[in-house]
Amino acid sequence: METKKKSSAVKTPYNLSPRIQWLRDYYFKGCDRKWNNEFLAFTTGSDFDELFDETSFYIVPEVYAFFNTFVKSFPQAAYPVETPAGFYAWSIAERRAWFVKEAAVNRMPAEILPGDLIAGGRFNLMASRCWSKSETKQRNKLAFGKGGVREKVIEFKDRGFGNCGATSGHLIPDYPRILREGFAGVKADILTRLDALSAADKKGPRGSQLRAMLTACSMPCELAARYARLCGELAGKEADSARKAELETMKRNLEKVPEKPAEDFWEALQSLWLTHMLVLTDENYPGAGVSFGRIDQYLLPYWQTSVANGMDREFGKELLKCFWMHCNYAYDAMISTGNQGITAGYGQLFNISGMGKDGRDMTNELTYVFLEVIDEMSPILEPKPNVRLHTGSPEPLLDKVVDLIAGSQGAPFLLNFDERSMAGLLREAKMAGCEDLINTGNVFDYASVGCLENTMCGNDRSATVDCNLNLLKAVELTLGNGKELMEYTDAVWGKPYKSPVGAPRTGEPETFADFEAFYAAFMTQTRFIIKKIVDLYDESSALRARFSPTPYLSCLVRGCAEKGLDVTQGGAQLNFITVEGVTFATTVDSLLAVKYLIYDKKICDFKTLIAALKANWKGYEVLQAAAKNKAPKYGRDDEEADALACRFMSDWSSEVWKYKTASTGAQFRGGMLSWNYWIGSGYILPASPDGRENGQFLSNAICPVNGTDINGPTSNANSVGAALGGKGENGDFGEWFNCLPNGASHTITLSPALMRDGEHKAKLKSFLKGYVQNGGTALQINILDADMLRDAQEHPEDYKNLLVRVTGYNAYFTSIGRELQDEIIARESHNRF
Amino acid sequence: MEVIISDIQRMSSEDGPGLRVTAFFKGCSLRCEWCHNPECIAFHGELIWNENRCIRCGTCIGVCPNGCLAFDADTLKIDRAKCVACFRCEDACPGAALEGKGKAFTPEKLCRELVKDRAYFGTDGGVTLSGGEALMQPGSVEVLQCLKSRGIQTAVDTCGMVPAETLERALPFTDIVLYDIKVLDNGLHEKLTGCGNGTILENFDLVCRWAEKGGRLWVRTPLIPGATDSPGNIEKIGALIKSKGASVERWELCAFNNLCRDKYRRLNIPWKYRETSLLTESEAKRLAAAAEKTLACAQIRLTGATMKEGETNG
Repeated sequence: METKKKSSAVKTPYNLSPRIQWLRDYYFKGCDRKWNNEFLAFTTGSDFDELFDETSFYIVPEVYAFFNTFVKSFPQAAYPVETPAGFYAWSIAERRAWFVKEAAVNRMPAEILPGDLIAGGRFNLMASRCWSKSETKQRNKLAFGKGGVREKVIEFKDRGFGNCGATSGHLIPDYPRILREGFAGVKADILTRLDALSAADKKGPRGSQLRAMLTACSMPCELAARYARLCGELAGKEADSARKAELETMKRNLEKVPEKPAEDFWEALQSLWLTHMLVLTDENYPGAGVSFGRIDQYLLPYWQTSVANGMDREFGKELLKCFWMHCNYAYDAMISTGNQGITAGYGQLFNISGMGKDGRDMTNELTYVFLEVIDEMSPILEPKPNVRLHTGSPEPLLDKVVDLIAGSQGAPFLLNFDERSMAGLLREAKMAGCEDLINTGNVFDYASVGCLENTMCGNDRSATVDCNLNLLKAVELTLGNGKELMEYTDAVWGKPYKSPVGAPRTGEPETFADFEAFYAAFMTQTRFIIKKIVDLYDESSALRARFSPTPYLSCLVRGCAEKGLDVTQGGAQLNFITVEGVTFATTVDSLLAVKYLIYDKKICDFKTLIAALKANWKGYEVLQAAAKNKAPKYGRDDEEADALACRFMSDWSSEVWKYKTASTGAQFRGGMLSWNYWIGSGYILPASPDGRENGQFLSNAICPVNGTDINGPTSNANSVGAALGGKGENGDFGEWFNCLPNGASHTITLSPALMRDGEHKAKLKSFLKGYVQNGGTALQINILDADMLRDAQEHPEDYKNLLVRVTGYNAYFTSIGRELQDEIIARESHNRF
Repeated sequence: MEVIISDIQRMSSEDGPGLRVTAFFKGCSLRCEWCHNPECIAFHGELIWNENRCIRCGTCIGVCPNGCLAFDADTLKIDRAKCVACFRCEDACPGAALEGKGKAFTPEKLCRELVKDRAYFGTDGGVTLSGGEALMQPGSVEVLQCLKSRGIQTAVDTCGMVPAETLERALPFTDIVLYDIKVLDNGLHEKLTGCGNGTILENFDLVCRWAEKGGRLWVRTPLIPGATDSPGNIEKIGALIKSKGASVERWELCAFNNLCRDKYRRLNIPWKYRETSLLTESEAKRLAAAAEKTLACAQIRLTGATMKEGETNG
């Protein structure tokens, strides 16, 4: 029975020891904390030195206006570090490895918070790029000069194409190797490879890369030694005997890991944390999408050893909870400037459960430990859990998953669906010709980065959010015969862009005899926008490859040592760039509307439709209503509409496979994650044939246009699966097809009534099992009622902890803008009746 | 034989066990005063005007072949005596404000729609035929047959006021019967629903015998303020169920629902319960307790929405 009530209770954490309660409360004090992990900046002190590398932020349009500020202000705020003689004679990679290590090990403060069981606090570092004067000049000409990358990126965004840039993070380093071999093992391997180089190669780029990596390898070891000393000092001063013993154990742990292999759970977590946080340090980027992979699999042996040696299960969870808190400190990077924008969701993601070899289920005791920790700590943003489900997922796991969903406002994890995901990765292996590295013998060991972007682990420079393309732009260019339907202006200065956009002339739409002719022209424009984004991307990728190596991260990605090539230069065994198709449903619905209004029902001609779009539908309300309400829509399990969705999905994603970066040889592939672009670009792109006005949001990732999924969650999910290719004989994996190897973000909102008791939770479980069969690669579930959200808008102070899923990420409801809040409320209200 | 359907509800969680798809058949043999599906009372097609979606373009007025439609100020008036439910207006309405309730499906075509959620049915979900009174349409048996041939679990939600022969033809293709028993007093039943309950109780015997041989039977009793919600009525129904031994698997007490107010307005049908509030939580719980006390069957459930004490409900 459900009882109407004004507002539901917000999920609260529970079963926290005084230690964890204190650490958690302390974290949430935010700016009021004495201790924080805000960026600390270090410079070579030269007058040409630069710290901030904007290429990572080309995909964050909100930051464009601040680029110059960041470039100029970081050196001013930086502490000088004296560089050794002959510094500029070294390669950039060697300079960076030395500099980052020096700053991280010897200049960053090292502290341990009261009661903390894991060491490694400060990691948000902004370090000198270590460019020489002439390198700085060359690089900045390419980056900010006339016709440089920055200018093009800004115009690309202002004219509604989307955005792209070579971005840090978004991959899964080979952490299990560090647990197994320690950095000593990595170091030994690099030394062997360095020795094997010819004299010429030793002097060349391969030699310098390997030397840089050697330096980088010693960074975690030296930092651990520093923390070990600190623990020793603290233990010496500690009056409480229990705490003293903890600090002494931490000291011993740090004297051993991550240099040497870990042997128990505490050591493994310590090793993992220190290794991970230094990736964020090395990239000068607070962790977006640096993900842990299949954590319940590779930590299991350490857990079992510790349990066998008498570790209390609750103490094991206590260690994990400390680990949890450390991940959240990524958000401190720019804490003084507020908790907005990019900091709404980082995505240090881990996967638990999922399929193993021969379809076996890999759920283990540690999987359940993780689920308990997630539940007890939630709501909290990091690390980001992702539970992998498949046909063989065990009932107790599904029960626990459903319980957790029922108990939170949004599911406290993402769900990934193995069969559909693996189908995409096997398709990728075929298309990219890397079946030696991805095949039925290992594809089950995939994992997700950031939000839900599927990749292989430890050898895949997955670059999952680097290209975000508004597919809808091709509709505009088709209707305009290669011209835009409106004048676009520079978002900062308001100056109109006069230069031609360079799109092919595909013909005046009135001349298209049938929908096929229209679609052919549309695909020509789609090919044009894809070419445009891959070309532009290549420019920022080339910039990064030449000037911004990350030698420490390169130590953690298989392939880099073998090739003697930095991970930014294509060193990984697998190198992919995802073109995320943004505005998919708006585009499909626009095609469906053109077909319906012009060809099938002959309600209007192209001239009228174009005039209506240019007028933003003002004066064309009847036509707009027909476009919105009468034209078929994707997302309703309507076979005809979904067939067009599937056709377009196949066509655009096939086009993406044709490209590789010239700079690094990375293969482009398709995915669908729209982060928050579907909101911002809605204000840029003109009205669309589906009835949307300029200023209204576009569709999010692979989701249907908001409000169009009138047949409920099952039909919505069926459409998503159908768009990805559906099922049939000779699928990419079993019966499953999938054109999007990198995955597709799908969000649905369910009413709390669906999980009010055991019987209804069983129904939700049926839904999830059905989703495995028919749905997409990834699902995020919001459990909300509109009244509660409206109350949260009015009384944000009562809802500080209310987490909602936006797309691939969670955000605190009260920290997001009013428009997005309204959007989430609209989504929920729609589902109620 | 074609069937006339008003709506198909995907992912239904309240019409039987598991996740289901429910088809609402048009037309009913009873006239319950509180009916929450008024669009399924009449057998013929009916037009509904959703005023909030209407953009007042007047397109519909022009396409109606019988001149049934006209604006009275801002309100669309439907001359229901003249409307033949051709639904040309629905087709033409750009705002999707006009909605035709009652579309014809062949059993085969209906089944194709109903099985689209098959992957989500799991072990205990399936399709429910509801309404209206599904069994008043002879084609419903063909629909059940068609679903069974595809291996779908079927449920029939019935008021029991149907010819016994139809029931006998339907039961072999039915896994679960959701059987409404509203009031045991014959006179009161006639007053509230337009019919006495003689046939309904006879058919209940029939269904119970079917259930003894393996069919699943759920009894449902709507808790309607001032009509069915006397503890005495609940106790009598409980005793009846108990007298049937173990044939009834479950008894659901369905709290009065007033979200259908707008549907009555849109059909231009006055509704006696317009101003009636939801049951309060304590009223509903008291009735549930009375039901529990009868030990009628293993599962007794209270469903639907109630309100807290002191809350006004609009």
